[in-house]
Amino acid sequence: MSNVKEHQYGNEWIEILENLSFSEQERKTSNAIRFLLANSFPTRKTEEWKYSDLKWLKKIKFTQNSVFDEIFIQKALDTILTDDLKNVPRIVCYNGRYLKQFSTIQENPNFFMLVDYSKNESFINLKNALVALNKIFDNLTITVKFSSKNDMKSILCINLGNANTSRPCVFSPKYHFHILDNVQATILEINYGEGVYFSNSVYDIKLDHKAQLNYTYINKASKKSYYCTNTLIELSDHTKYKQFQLIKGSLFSRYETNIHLKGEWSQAEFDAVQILSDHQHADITSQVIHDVPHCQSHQNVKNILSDFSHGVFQGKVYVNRLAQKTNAQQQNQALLLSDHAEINTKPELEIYADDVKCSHGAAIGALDQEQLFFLMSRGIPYELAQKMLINAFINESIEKIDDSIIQNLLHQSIMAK
Amino acid sequence: MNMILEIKELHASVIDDTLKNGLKPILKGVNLSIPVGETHVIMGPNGSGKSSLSYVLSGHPSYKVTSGSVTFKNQNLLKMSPDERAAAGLFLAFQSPVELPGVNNANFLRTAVNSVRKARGESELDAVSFLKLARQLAKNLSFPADMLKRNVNVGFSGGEKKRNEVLQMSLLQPSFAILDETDSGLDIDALRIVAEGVNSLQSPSFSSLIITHHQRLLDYIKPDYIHILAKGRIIFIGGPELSLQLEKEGYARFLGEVNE
Repeated sequence: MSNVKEHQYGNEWIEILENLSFSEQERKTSNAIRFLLANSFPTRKTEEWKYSDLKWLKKIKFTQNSVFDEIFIQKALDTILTDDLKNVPRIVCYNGRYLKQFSTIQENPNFFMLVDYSKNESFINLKNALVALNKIFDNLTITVKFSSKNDMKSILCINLGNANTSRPCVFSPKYHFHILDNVQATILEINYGEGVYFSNSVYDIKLDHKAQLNYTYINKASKKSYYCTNTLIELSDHTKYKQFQLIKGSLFSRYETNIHLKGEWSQAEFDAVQILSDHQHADITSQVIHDVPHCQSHQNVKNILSDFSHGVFQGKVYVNRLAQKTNAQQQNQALLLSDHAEINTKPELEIYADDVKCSHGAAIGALDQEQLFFLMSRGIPYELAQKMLINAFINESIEKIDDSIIQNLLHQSIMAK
Repeated sequence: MNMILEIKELHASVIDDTLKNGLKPILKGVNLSIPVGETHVIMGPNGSGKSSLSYVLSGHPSYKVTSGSVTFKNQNLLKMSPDERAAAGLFLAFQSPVELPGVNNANFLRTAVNSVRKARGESELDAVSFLKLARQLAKNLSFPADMLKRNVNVGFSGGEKKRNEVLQMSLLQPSFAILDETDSGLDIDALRIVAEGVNSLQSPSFSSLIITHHQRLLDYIKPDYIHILAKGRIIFIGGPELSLQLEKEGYARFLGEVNE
């Protein structure tokens, strides 16, 4: 214990690390722990954390232990695996462990899919507290390579969480998705779970020359859970990256996306829809770096906030001096359905090139009363009318997705309670 | 006589936050009774409260009834929400229907029909029988088939929006319809088609209240009575011949008799 306390800073981390029962030896050798201790605990006084408060991380006594609960897993998979999804090759993880017996993608000698549990502190170079917290654990790393030598083009990742011990568990998976030259890949990730737990995942996504990836992320986990993700996406030339996030679950969640456009003529499109109620809090924070000319990035985030929920959007587009002919758009639209719901939005542009087309904006409002009245005057009850208008608002984003199976799944997930 | 609608001493204000007390009086003691099966017309100068009356009757949230009563089929209409009014058989064809981006017209129509059927204790229509019915009615209104696939009123011309209103009315089968200047902005052919759509609903149990500025619509739809609404009150009631007289002489003669 004494070794940890010797550090001058980050005293709040000490208690968290003690809770997680890190040995003295581990504390000495881990760079990630050193990073945490050298930096103070993120509070609302720091700019990146101004609207999201991590204080629950100090209050809840998380543990790394979890119990294998086959009945829960089976039930969860029965719910998730609709007829459309049953035959999609899948990776199933449960409380941060890869479940070979429930997955249909297995490790293979060509290294198209690898499962590793050893410590990997060099995994992605993002310096922030949650990434460091992810790295301190000996936790699951899943690597999937999409190559023209492989038939696998679409995969389903199911990330299950379940609170079944006396203390809520924390798990910190790492995912590495690599799309090789000229390959078009689709990844659908579904996060689902029950009770209180904390999933703190890190993603490293690379697209090589002319590669394409459609990534759909759905959080329909329990409204008591905590989810944080940190994603680094590196795009080579002529690539096309499309991301869509649907956030309905979790009490607290934060999704940090870093997109780095490194090759010319690449496009990144990343949209999100948050549908929050009760006391849910969800934070979408992103940074797009345009390093080279002729690239495009488009971001559209929609928040539908009812009850006491709180949505956060912090988006930054950075256009380097060399990144001429950049086309970057960023838009946040929030629908506040209650007097107590709250949105904090901060779209930012930082431009050093002089021949670019960049725009950003934020619009916050309530449902249009004239439209609501029109629907009700046709006999449609208030709640259904409200739902129709909310769906219309969301549809604009979903209609942009090409895959009809994913579109249907998103519609179903939105309609579900 | 059996009345479908009875309005007594109705006072209503539009909610206006810029005013000191937040209310701007519009209707100042409207009395109007419509027997079952009759067609009544309201005419009157601009700003006299015609559209406001139609909004108040259909339950628009921007209006507040300050006194008076409205009885619809022996029920207190003012206590009902807009959707309950629709289920009870009241329909308002809007003067300028709103656009609903992202809401598919066919889905909207089916949701409306089934909401009303459900509230009336009737069985809901499945997608196939609904589409069959909607396509037939749309055809009667010379409505291009693709308008069912488009978003509600988005990109519709003025005439198409009005025809969409009549299509909604035909599908919802109201017992009482208020047509708020449904004839405005229509060309001669469209006017005839819309009027035929309204006439097709005519039956001994169907009543309507038509708000119009023009005599022309009344060539197609024969009213029983014409009311003149001015300064928030009904100031004159006459027979069908009144519209021709108004067209010739204007409102001046009638207005002279009204006090503020």
